[in-house]
Amino acid sequence: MNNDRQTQTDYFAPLRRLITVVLLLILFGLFVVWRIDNPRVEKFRALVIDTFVPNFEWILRPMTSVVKLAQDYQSYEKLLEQNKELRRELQQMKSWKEAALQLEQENARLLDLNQLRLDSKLTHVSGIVIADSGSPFRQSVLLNIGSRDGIQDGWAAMDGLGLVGRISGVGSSTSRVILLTDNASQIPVIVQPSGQRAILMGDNSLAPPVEFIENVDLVRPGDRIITSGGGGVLPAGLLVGTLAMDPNGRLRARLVADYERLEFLKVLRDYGIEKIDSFGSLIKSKEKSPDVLNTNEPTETVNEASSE
Amino acid sequence: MSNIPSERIWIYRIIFLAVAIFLILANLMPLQTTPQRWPWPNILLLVIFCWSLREPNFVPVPLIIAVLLLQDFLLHRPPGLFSGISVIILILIKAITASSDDKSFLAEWVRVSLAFAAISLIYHLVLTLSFVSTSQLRISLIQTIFNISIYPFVVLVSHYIFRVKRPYFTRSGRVI
Repeated sequence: MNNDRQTQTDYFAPLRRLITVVLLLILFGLFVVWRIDNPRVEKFRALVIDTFVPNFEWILRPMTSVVKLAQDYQSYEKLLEQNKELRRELQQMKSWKEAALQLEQENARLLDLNQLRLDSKLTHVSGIVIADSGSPFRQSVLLNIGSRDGIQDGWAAMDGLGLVGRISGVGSSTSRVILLTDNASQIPVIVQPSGQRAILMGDNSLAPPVEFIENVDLVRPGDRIITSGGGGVLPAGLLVGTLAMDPNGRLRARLVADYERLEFLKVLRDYGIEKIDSFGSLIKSKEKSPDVLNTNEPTETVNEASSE
Repeated sequence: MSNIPSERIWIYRIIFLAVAIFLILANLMPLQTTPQRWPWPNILLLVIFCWSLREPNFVPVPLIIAVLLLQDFLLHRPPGLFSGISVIILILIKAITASSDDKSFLAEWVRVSLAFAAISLIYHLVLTLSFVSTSQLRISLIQTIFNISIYPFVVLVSHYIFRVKRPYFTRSGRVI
């Protein structure tokens, strides 16, 4: 450092060194702050992303489409083969479609009979994937919808079929989806039909392992995996994938969402399950108007409740 | 070094900023939504090392810090750590290069390789010591190997396309 700088103007060298040292201290201080007060710095990160990425979308979009064009061109060579395969799949799909239609009609009839109101969690906001995580260590995508569209942390992101990930980090016009394949992703699931609870732990591979199964003997490869909604993490009953066994005998999830092509994601509105924590309110509300009785009665109800 | 006109220096600083933003955006393109077996090299880091060892005036340390910190934020790394370690190692390598007699490219490559290895090892060590989950030493080792092997290409591109050349060429008359 010294030799290099002595050739330059010596006058500025100490000042420059001081600035460098201060900046380095700021950097390491930032890391320490991030380690201690993670949510605040992550909020700042969301802000940085929110200001940077949308401003450069005009260049990001064309770059992406040019690369995708080149990739698509390569895939044209396999077109004939793909076509045959698709026709075969279409045949199978037709039979499924017939079955689904019948079930849908039946379902509609039953819903009508029960006069059921549709759950608000079945509504969603759709977003376009504008960026990925950019590093091989993290698996996430950036959507072009944010808090101005009502997005909140923790909501589930799905593609057409299955769960893709969970919102983590919301800016005003962008939000980040941590994919199920990310190292930090842990999601409570249920393996159907046996109903065994387990946790899907992302490990930076395309097929995340399914850990902590209650009774491993009751599940087998091919079983469906859906979210359990445990801990209020995600809404229950979202399709995740099917169970599969890797060569080492470890149970993994074959994800049903098409991770190769994440272009549009829908984010399910989920305001959580309303908790009922005021159990005496029905009795209290009646007694609110007459002030005379108020002194005796409420204490009794509280005592009853606590003894239960 | 001081004989470079200041407009040229400022133009090169702007070019560097543009290149850095382009490289960050190239990383962010939503193409790798599946976990990748082979990680991309961190080309921005290579460019920073290559240009700093040739024309330190084009890439002043505050600019490097700003760009690396932006990369930290956008690529979802713990902010400040990777950029801090990289800048310290870079300053060390600059000092070693300035004081050594061996100005050949091979020596530079060896030094830079050691620098990349040191950066990723220290980065992992600190993350492990501060209990941030890091089970991905394998990926970062592969990335380091890619970084090292791609460095000569970055040097060639900077030399022939961006015209960022070594100051030693003219001054001491030494040829690589």
